[in-house]
Amino acid sequence: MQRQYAVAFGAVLTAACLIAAPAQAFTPDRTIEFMVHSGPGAGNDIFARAVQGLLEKTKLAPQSIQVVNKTGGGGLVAMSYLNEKKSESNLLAVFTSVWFVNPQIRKKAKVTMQDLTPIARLILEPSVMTVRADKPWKTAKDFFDAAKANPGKLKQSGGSLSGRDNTTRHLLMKASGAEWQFISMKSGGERVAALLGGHVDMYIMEPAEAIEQIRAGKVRVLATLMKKRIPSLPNVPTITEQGYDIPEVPQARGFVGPPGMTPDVKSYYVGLFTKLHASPEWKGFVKENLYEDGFLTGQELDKFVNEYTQQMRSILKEAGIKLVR
Amino acid sequence: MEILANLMHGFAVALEPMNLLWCFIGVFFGTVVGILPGLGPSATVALLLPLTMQMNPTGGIIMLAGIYYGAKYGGSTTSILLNVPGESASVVTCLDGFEMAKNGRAGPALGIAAISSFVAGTVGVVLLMLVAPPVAEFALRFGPPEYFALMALGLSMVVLLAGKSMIKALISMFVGLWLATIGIDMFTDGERYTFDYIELMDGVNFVVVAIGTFAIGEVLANLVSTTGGQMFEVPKGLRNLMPNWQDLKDSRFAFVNGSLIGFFVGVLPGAGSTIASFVSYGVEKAVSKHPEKFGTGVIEGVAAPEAANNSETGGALVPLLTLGIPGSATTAILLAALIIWGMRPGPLLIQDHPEMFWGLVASMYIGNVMLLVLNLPLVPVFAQILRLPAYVLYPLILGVSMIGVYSVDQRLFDCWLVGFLGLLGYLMRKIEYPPAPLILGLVLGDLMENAVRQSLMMSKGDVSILYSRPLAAVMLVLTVLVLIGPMFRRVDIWRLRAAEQDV
Amino acid sequence: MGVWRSLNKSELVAALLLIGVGVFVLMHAWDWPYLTADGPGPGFFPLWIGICIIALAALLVVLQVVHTINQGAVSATNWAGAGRVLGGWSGLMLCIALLQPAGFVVSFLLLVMILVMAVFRRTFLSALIVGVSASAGFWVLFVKLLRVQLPAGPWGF
Repeated sequence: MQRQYAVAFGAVLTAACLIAAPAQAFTPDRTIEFMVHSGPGAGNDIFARAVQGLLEKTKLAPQSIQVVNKTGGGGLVAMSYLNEKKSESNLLAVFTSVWFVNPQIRKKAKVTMQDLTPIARLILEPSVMTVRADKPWKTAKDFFDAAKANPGKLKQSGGSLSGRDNTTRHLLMKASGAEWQFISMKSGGERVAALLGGHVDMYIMEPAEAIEQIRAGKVRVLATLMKKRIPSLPNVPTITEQGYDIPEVPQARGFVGPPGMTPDVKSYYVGLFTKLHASPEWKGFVKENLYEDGFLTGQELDKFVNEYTQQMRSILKEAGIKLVR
Repeated sequence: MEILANLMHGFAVALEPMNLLWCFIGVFFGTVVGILPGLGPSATVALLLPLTMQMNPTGGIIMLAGIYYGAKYGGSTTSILLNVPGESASVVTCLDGFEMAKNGRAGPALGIAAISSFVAGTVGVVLLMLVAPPVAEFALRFGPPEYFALMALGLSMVVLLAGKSMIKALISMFVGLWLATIGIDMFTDGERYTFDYIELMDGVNFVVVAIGTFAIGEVLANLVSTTGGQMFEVPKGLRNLMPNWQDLKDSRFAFVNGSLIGFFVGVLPGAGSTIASFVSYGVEKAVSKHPEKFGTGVIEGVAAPEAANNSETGGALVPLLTLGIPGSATTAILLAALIIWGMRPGPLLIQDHPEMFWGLVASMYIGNVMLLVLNLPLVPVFAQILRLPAYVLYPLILGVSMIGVYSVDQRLFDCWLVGFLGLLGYLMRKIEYPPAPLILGLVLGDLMENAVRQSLMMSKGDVSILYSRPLAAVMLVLTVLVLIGPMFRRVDIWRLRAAEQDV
Repeated sequence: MGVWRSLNKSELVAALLLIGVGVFVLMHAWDWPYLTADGPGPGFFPLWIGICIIALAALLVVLQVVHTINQGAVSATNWAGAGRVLGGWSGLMLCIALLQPAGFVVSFLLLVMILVMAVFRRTFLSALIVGVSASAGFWVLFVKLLRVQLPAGPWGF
């Protein structure tokens, strides 16, 4: 009698495993959508398409990928849309720092990163403090001294008030005790042109832009605004090395999924990006654009999400931006 | 000459069979995209970016650039035939282009648009080739005060778009300026006139306003007196469907005017082809011997904006290729593509990668020829669309309008908005408020407000920054001349009348 | 009394409405900072725009009254024409309302039928032919060939 029960039990167990096993291995069954919160041509739109291109080139994607633009409210439309697509397994979105900032400054932005399912952080974009090459300042201190001598006269070009340029500016002003103006300009092209044309005195750039201008002798980098020196600019000291202790405020880019993503779906995508990250094509892409490899998944990523939210919160407060939550 | 040698080398690259194929694919898709309202070159170039990652760089950039300037050719088609502006810059082409279609001259209008695009596109490439670096340096001298002066010059064009009532035109312009303020204010992150509509946070979309007030407004206005039959005369015979020698002669100045203005405005980051088209239309009207005929269907009124529109692409490539600065969304994508291929855009790009630059330049010459050959024969074909009776054509216009609007952001909100704006467009026509100044205000309002605020921030409130710098001062003087010009004309006419009465 | 009758009412109403718009713009602009420490604030431009609209529209009202006193009567309204416009516009708005639930193809078909039959007074058959070919044609061209997204109803298109 007992033997029969054992066999039966074994049979049922085996059957259960056979039924359960296929459910473990998820692969997307239709076009994967990468949702982007800006229009075509903006930074993260290009990033998403580059990732799409690399996944296609390395043949890691089993289905075709389509980039979908959902613009509006500086990211809030995209975040709400993603939040509504619970358990959708073929939809991912590109997150950037804006996704952390928005819920804190906009009443209507009710969705936070913690509501969604972060998949992987892929890159960090460093920033550097640049001035036109014909200016006399050679170090950050020189610039700060000039600003102190002429309070409010020096000018920095940048984007919106809650963007990285301005928050970094507030951190620098606090650490140095100097004060200078911020001129918002709509597009990156205008901001760089303003610096090159001498209409503003300083601009916070990304290394990829800066490198070429340095090579042509048009600009000089006063400081790297990261904790460590950037490999492509080995002779440029960091802002901390120069004696000004400010927190690192990197622009992070990665992928996030809708809420309620089941573990097997999530682990599929984590695996996908891990494989991409290991590919030589990806490494080449990161190198060409002078990004910093910021690959993070799993628990470390969740930790980053929480820490970064808090960090942005305190930075925004210091910068005098009104917080709504 | 070194330039010639480089150019010859460039042609050697551009004439390679694969590169010729990529050029053709690019300009063909560009034209198709350009004809369809709403769908712009930036979306198409973005869509093809991943594909180009697997291509060789020269072929890739040739194709992407082909889409960019090819789209400018197609934009005039729906503007002339249906009064549906294909993209922002085509709005100005609607003004005289559609009137020409109503007068049975759709063929010549389409033809001159193609020819003018060819001439200006080629001039744009020539200028890119010859004077790119010094022009780029010169353009760097344009800071916020100069942008303000340029926008003021652009807005003063309202005087030339006014028609019968200056007051109504001004009101229309101010309403457009108001619409431009809707959305999030960049300087303070505050919201203006959004009334809790998320969709308004980024402002009112230009395409929606243009299609609503122009296309749908016109359809509704025509419903008043239509019988449903064929609307306009479409002449038979190829000679009547193409521009004749007189047309080409009349457009000579427009070609020059448009090419130069378009190129230069294109060099300025953020300025855009809409301003170029408006300003060149205005200039053309200002120097014309028969300015009062503008708006009723004069060929120069189509040639000038179309030329400006096309040479602007050449101009927009200047800051990209000589300084590494992208001036618009499409050039930003081109920049990303160059980086992906390992070519770093910056002041040393042309030096480091001459084969790419000269190959591109040569392919643009070839591309413009291809586009002329593609578009010109299509002119008589497209003109036949107007043979359709109104009860077929008007629904088609409405359908194209809705698709165009929806294709911008896939939002139903935009469709609702275009419906209401269509009603507004009809009402405006009924009580003779011109819609063109509204569009002008909408496009320039944002740029002008930003320029003023940036300038005053730079000068800490000192207003003299706006007129004390030489470049800005020159443009402001031109603005004043444009504004008071019509008054002199009126004085002249009074004198003439007085003289006649004495005799 | 004669003056009132010969006033171009639609012009007058429009000008008055525009004054209303100007006031609306002005009222909201009042809530925002006019000048900030750095320069003109978000209220600066809208305030002036509102003022200009009010001033110009008021000028129009005055001119209207003066002009009409000099000119005289205005032509009669074309009721049939206005009816067509209303019909056409209502059809359009109905189509837009149906875009989400019924999809582009069906809503547009409906719009064409309304336009051709009610506004242009053609036969049901003409309406059907034009409607079906136009909506099907658009669908094939845009959705299938060009991969443009259009609203789709529960039947997939």
